[in-house]
Amino acid sequence: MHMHHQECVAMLLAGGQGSRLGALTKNIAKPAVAFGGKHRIIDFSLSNCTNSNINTVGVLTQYKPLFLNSYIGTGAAWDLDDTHGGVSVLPPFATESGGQWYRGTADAIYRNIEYIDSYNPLYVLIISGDHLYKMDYSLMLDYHKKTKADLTISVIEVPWDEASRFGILTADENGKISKFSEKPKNPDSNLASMGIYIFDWHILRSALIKDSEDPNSDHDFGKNVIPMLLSEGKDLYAYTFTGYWKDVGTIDSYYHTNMELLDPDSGFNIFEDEMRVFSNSNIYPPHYIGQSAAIDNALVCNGSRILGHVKHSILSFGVFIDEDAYVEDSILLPGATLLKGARVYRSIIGENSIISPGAVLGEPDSEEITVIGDNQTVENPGKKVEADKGGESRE
Amino acid sequence: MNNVLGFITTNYMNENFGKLAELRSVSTIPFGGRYRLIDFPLSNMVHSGVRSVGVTTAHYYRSLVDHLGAGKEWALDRKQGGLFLLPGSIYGMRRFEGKFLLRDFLQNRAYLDRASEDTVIVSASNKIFNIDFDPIVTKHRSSGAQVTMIYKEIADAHMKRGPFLELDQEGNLIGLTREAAGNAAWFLDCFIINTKDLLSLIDWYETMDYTDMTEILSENITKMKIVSHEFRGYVGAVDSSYDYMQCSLDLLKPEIRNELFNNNRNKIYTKVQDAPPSKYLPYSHVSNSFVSSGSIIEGTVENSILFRNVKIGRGAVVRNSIIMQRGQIEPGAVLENVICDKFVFVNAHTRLSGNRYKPLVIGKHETV
Repeated sequence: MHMHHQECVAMLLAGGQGSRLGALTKNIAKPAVAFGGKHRIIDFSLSNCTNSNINTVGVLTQYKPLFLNSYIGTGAAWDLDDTHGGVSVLPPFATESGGQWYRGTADAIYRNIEYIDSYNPLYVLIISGDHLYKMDYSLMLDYHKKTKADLTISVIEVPWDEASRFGILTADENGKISKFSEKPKNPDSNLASMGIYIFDWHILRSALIKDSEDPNSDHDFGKNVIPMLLSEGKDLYAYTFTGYWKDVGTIDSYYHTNMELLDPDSGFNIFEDEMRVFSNSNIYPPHYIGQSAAIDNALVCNGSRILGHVKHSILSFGVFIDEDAYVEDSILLPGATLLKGARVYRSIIGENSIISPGAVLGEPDSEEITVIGDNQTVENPGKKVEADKGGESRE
Repeated sequence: MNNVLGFITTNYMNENFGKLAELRSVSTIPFGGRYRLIDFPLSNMVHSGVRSVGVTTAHYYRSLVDHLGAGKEWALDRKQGGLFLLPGSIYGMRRFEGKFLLRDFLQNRAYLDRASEDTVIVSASNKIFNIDFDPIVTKHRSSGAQVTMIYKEIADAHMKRGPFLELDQEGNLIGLTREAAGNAAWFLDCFIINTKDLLSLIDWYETMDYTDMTEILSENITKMKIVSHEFRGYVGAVDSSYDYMQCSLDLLKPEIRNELFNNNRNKIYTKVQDAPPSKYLPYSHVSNSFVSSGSIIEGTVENSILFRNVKIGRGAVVRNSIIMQRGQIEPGAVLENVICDKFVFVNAHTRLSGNRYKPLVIGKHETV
């Protein structure tokens, strides 16, 4: 096997279940969950790679990978179908000594040393497939080279009162890291790790081998590998990122991060032409807004058909809002359907799920977000109805 | 459907398009919020199973090459077959009317010669319809015909541009006519021909290369077996800026929209641009409109088509109009029966109106 030499190879961790997203990740991995109307969460990391001129990306998959694999495809949707690199989906595999699941983030990389070696890179970028942000990794790589660091960790300033929820790094004025504390009770810094690392490959390579031999290790970057390198006196530097960055770990943060797209001041701009976010979208016709439809503050995607009322909501592609249906403060994932007279408040409706005529979901002022998983039918408890498949073709 | 080659011509032009086709081929006039006219014949061929399509280029073909690229969106970027951009025969001039110039075939004889396919679907690119060629090709082959002409039965022939087919009881072609009134068999600028018969015709008429293939077929009605196939679906014909407006507004009718775009087997493909969703701000009021992605709407939009990345400012009113890609309508402007080509900027409080029969066309990049 002969591969072209690449200066930097990206390894994208996309194997986690994202169990705190509940029904949304019942059938698909968290990076494949739809976001912001037309995207899926992994679009952001993959687009960042393209926009940073990184064209070799290994995607580590494990949990429910079927949809994710087909979504990534050849990587062409993100211009990552490159002759000298491109996307490789890397699931756990068996060897002559047996096989097992990836035991942690570091283990996933450790078991793909051969993949990385085949490109003979100087640097390896480790990123997650479940963060929402736009970042030019090449600037971080420049910083990594300039400081001659062994490892550079991207950090973001978080409010002091929230610092105890993050992995916190303590660094001097030159950015040199002296301490790493996972969710510290009394933080002495507010620089939170974003889970984005650039390693010199030879440093990472030997650290991974050493970590793999430690029976007490959880084989996790944050818990094990970084503290180990720090204790060995390696040069770790913090790279401060100032843009928008979100880890949508919970239903609550998923909901609010989506809704921030409706807020002009949120700092998360998916409309600008700079650092475009690509996606592997199907070709849908434009959306149709009916004669008596009313839309007040919403995002609407192609292939949707709106005949009813929409207020402060996000509608993905292929959504159908029938006449007299009403949706407020909600997120409708691809293909979600509200039939005649259905009312939906503060809810997330999964892909291709149907809210039957007259059914009511959620409450206008509820604290809690109502979540309906994919391919569900919500019946109107008062009425027996036969729900059929929605979508534009029903017209 | 196997063993069928596609051949699309794009050099059609007439004087009634105005600015819409000033610097582009009719085949690449943007249509329906995100498509271009050529998407229809090209997608029809692809979803019917054609794996090799030649597209002849028109006088202005930059937009054609830009749009089609390597044919990726139509799955025509292939090792075997795929998309072939064929140089048109008229580099320096516009040819009015002629849709199937013999010269275009002659010039690209090599493409036809090398084809292993035994059947060719030939189509122009200014008519909008969604068709499955598979059963028609099957019928063509089993009938032993050399040519199958595809038409639609209409009742308002005086409103349409010809040619029209004259057919006998069995549907065999007995004549072609430019003009017709009332009921007529309207030719859809689309026919199926055996490859070897096409090559023979090219050879026979080589010295008369200014001829149109439909004239040649007409000449050979008695010598060849030319049959017809009736298409019963929707057909939109774009022959003028008025037609363009009518065909666009047809998309607001659910049955037409469904037929064209929501046939899961026969999808219309187009170049993907990954625009974000459209944003409807609190002061927007949109009804009976077809809207593409990336638009930001703060005003009123009625009975209109908005393309990608259009901005409608607060208090602006857009009625019975078409705003193409990146059009920007500033606050308080009022537009009625207007077609804004790409990148048009309409200043605040400007009033623009055409009428139903003669829409006002604002050219690409114009500021008004």
